[in-house]
Amino acid sequence: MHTLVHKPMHRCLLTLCIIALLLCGTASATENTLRMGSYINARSIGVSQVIRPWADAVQAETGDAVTIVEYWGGSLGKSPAKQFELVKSGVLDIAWILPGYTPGQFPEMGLFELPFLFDSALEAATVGWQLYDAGLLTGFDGVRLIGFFSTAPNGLFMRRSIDTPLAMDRYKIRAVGAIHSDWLNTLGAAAQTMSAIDMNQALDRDIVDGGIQGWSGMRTFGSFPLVDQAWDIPVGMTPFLLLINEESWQRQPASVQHAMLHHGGLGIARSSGQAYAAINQRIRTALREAGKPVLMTPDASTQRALVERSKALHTGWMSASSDRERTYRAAQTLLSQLRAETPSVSGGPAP
Amino acid sequence: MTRLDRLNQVATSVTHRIALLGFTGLVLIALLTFYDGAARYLDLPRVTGFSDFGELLFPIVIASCFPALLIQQKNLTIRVLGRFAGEGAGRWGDMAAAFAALVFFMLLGLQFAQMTLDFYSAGRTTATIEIPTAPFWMIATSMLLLCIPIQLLVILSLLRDLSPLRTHDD
Repeated sequence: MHTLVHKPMHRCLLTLCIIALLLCGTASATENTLRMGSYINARSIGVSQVIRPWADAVQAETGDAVTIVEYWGGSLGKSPAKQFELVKSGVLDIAWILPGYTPGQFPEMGLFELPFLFDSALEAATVGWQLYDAGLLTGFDGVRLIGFFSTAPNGLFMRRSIDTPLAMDRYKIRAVGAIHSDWLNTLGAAAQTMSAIDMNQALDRDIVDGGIQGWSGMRTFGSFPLVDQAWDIPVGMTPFLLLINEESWQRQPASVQHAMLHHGGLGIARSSGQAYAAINQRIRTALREAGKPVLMTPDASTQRALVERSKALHTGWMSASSDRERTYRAAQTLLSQLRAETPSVSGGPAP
Repeated sequence: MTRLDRLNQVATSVTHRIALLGFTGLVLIALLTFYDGAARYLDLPRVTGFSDFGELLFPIVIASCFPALLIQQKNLTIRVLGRFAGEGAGRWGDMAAAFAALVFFMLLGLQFAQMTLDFYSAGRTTATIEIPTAPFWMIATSMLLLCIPIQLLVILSLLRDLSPLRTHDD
């Protein structure tokens, strides 16, 4: 009797539950969610001062049209080398990529690693975006570039102290890519490409004697306590790409696409340029006050010799293919224009 | 000796040679590691792009072991069904497991083939000394694809053992 009385109520509750589940399902199916992430943590300059402000601006402009969910610190994939695969396969919709970790994928990206070419993060990021916009950067099949940014010029950080970077025979140094590796070879050192996290372990275990790294990267990955010297030599840049999966891009409404590019592109180039310049300044001031690692600046003759040795690298890189030569020449033109517009960031001519 | 036995013999010999080739790569890496480690203390020139060699050779070393392991059926096996449901059911369990392994290697092989084609078309290289990676992944993928006919051979052998009228000797 008891059961019979309550049967209609059970049925009612069951129906309500099913309706609620269906409604939830419909709501989540219509919600436009994008997964954005990187193996790098949220405190890094790239995330906190470049990518997150960009995402906030896109959200603010588009309202409920898109929800960007963040996965930092490698929640959806920890390997630095696999980040490009993650966004290309759609595991991540938007990702922060270091092209140096997928060698060969972006053939023209080595331009940014050439020593003594770019003087600031702003220069590299602006020219990088303009080259992409002009179709002079390739390797983006299955993905689309939203923003191009870069570290300020990398430095040379030594665990074993050296008197001059011109004689590094028998030393093994961490490189970020093949161009850095070739540059180190011209100085007599053996090079080894590895991620920033691996560099820390290698420095700690005395496997490498130093490394090429961005000043902000040294801070983000806590590498400064592992080195004795910080050489202020502009050893090329480390370019970064903010990529979106092509299918994820195609399913975005026009308003979201517009907002992403409006706040990305040259917007990201400018904001990241300022952010990296400011943090670089702060890091150098802090190091100067702390006294360790010791800040080292090559004297004028050493600097000239370093520029001279890097000439062959520029020529070699450029002459490898007609595409590279075209990209290099275009970069020089864009750099000249940028330096004419913003004389405060201009430096010496490329070798 | 049946045709199947002869096939098994040839496959065992071939897979052993492949595994030996793979382990030669492992020895090469070990020698390189030894030299690079010693060079640090003996003030000798260090190896540029040391980990690039590992990146190229390790997939081959690992993939080279699979065909030999499959033909010898040295993969980890937990036999519970036979104990509770009898020897016949256990054999059918082995057959189902062998079939699952075949499906697994087919899927794995396809994924590797896809990845190798991606690497080839993108012109992927190693990070430091820029050696193209696709040819090395092609070798590793070929070894994984070889696991498919090898596992088919294992399934055929198991099928023969299922038949009560046939023994290994006929």
